[in-house]
Amino acid sequence: MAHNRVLQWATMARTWWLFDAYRQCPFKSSSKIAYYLIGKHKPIYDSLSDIGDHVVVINSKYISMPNDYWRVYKYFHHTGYPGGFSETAAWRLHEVDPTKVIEKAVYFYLPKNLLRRGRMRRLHIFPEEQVPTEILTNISDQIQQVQPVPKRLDEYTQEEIESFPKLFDWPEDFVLQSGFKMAESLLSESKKAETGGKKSETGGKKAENIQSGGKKETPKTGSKKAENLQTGTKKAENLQTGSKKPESQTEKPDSKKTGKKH
Amino acid sequence: MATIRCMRLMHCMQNLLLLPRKTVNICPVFHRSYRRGLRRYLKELYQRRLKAGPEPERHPSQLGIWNHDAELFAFGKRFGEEFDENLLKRAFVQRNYIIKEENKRKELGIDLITVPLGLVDNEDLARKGEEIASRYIKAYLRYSYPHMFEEGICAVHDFLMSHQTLLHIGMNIGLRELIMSAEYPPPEQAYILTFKAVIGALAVSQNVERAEVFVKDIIIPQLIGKDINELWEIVNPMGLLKAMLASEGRGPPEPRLLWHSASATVMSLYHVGLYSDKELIGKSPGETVTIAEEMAARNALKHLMQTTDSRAPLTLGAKAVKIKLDYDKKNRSIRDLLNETVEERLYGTEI
Amino acid sequence: MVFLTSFLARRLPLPRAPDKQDNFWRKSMWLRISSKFYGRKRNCFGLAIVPGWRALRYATRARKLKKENMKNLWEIRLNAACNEHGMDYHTFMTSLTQADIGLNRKVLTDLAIYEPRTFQSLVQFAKQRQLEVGLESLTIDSPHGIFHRGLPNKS
Repeated sequence: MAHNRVLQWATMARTWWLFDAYRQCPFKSSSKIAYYLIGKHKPIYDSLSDIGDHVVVINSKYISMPNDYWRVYKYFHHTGYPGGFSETAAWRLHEVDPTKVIEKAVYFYLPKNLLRRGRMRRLHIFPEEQVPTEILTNISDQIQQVQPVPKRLDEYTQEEIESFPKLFDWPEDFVLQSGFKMAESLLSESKKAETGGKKSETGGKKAENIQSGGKKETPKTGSKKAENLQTGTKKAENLQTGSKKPESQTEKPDSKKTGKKH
Repeated sequence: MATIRCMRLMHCMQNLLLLPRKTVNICPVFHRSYRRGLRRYLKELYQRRLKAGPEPERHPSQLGIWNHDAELFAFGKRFGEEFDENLLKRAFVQRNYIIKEENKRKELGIDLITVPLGLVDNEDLARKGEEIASRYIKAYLRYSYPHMFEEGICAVHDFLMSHQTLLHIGMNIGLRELIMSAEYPPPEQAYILTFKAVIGALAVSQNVERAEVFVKDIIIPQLIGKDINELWEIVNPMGLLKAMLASEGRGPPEPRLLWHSASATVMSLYHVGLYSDKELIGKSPGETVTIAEEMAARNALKHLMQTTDSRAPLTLGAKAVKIKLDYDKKNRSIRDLLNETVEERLYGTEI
Repeated sequence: MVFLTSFLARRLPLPRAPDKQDNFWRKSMWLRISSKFYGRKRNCFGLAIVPGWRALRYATRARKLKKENMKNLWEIRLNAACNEHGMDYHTFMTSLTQADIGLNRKVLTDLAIYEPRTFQSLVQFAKQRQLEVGLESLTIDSPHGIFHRGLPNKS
């Protein structure tokens, strides 16, 4: 029976998988991670059997949200008392705990039953590449990433940038950022357009910050920003952001930048 | 048992009551309308049955419907065999049955010398049957697994001829009512003896070949679904593997870790592969490296002995008619192998 | 009363002319259905009868649902088994059907679990067939990121 025993053992053994979340969409990644946590990748899958695998997620700090989800995507909470409602933006949550966004997404994708908590215990998330040795030794396989990791501009050599195929060159006096100011009516909104230009600029800067200074820079700026934001209690802050929408819009790009800095 | 019998009774009662009106009218006294007391009546019957306990097991002859000769004839025909009537009858007679009958006659004052009992027990036939079965099974196994060691063949043979296997066969081919034993139901040993004696009786009635076909059809199929490698316990698989490879002139087995998972936990899993001359000869998973290595050695042995799970199925049924067995041939035994290797080690360099 | 099999219990005949004087048989039939319920509706006829009707309705519906659920389960398992060999479930099933290999999902699942080598050879067959038919090209670009056991080996 020894032969059958080891076969059984090998069939039911839990494999440890590694998932590199660097520049991956947290939602797409989470549905894939949940697939492995449930055990749907095994031919012996059964919805009531606890046969899921372990998944170790690294680089959860460097996930990339689609569109402007960092700003728009909100996590809600209600204490149950009147006025107990609060909402937190994704960038804020990520600032507080860089593993939380992935964790919450995976928790959402898991089936809502009694096995859910146990499956979550098999998910190990680490913000950086550093993983404790006792976990690292268990890992024997890797889950494919959900999207290709984009290459940053500063990762290209000057030659590559220069040799990039171009159809035409912009005239030197052409202002790209302000767009086509064709109509007079647009001039009246020139202020807005300017802020928009700023936004894209800061966006570009942000990317640089992440790449070049992401690991180098001290979290001072981030914490300062957090201090600035945490003027009052959490509730008060939420109310602020809730009530002063136009202000927050203008503020957001800056805060986002700093939020991503550390 | 009690419940079943009681249920039967209840059904009978109900069916009686549920007869068409025509029949019901025959006894108007009982069936003028629906019987209101039926439930109480059945309940009472049920309680009485519980109180009385189960009925003792009785031989069908005690129920009055039993023709032993006819049943014996039917027994032979069920297997499609032509038995000698007297021999088949003798195959079912147990020693203790004869003693019991003799005692009974003595009590009645009948002289056994002038009026002999005329019964012979089945032990001679059983001995003959066992001999035939044993000889055939070994030859058949050697034919089926020519690369298996003689020790393994013997282990599989012992399983087929074991108390457990023969009892299982005996209890499932309808011997129970036919066995003439002092007690009923007959003891376990009686089933085994009788089954062996039936084989013997067949050999005497027709010929040994016919009895061997019987053995092949009835005993050998007990191997279906069994792992023959598990029937034979190898104590030191790695040592045996080394000796085997050495005798074939191949390199010694080298274990290599193929894959592992969760090694820092209690649920660790290791896959170990064995290589000889850089060729994979066996692999297996295991809870620890040691277990995996041992199991890999067993796996390699299976490959060498050609008894893997993917081996060809046993030749049975119509296909087995043509096979010719060599009763004198013996497979290589482990002792031969060890002697060979020792000789090689001693004299190989000189030559 | 004890019934050794559920079959027997269901088939216990009712009196042909049910007597209002003795409802025992009719009641016991419904109580047999409610014998596994929780609470008083297990033993009290008045409470048991409505859940009993409902249980029969559920049973009727479940007969169909069971088939659907099993089909879904087999599909998930087969998908997992196909992915292990770098094959898509739908492509696999299509090529088997086109090649007149009449194995249903249940049998294929059993093969995938208990006879993985047999299943592997079926997948290989399907791959070869796809290659020959040339409709679902196997020469798709290799996926980005790392390669692992669950992905096709392009070499």
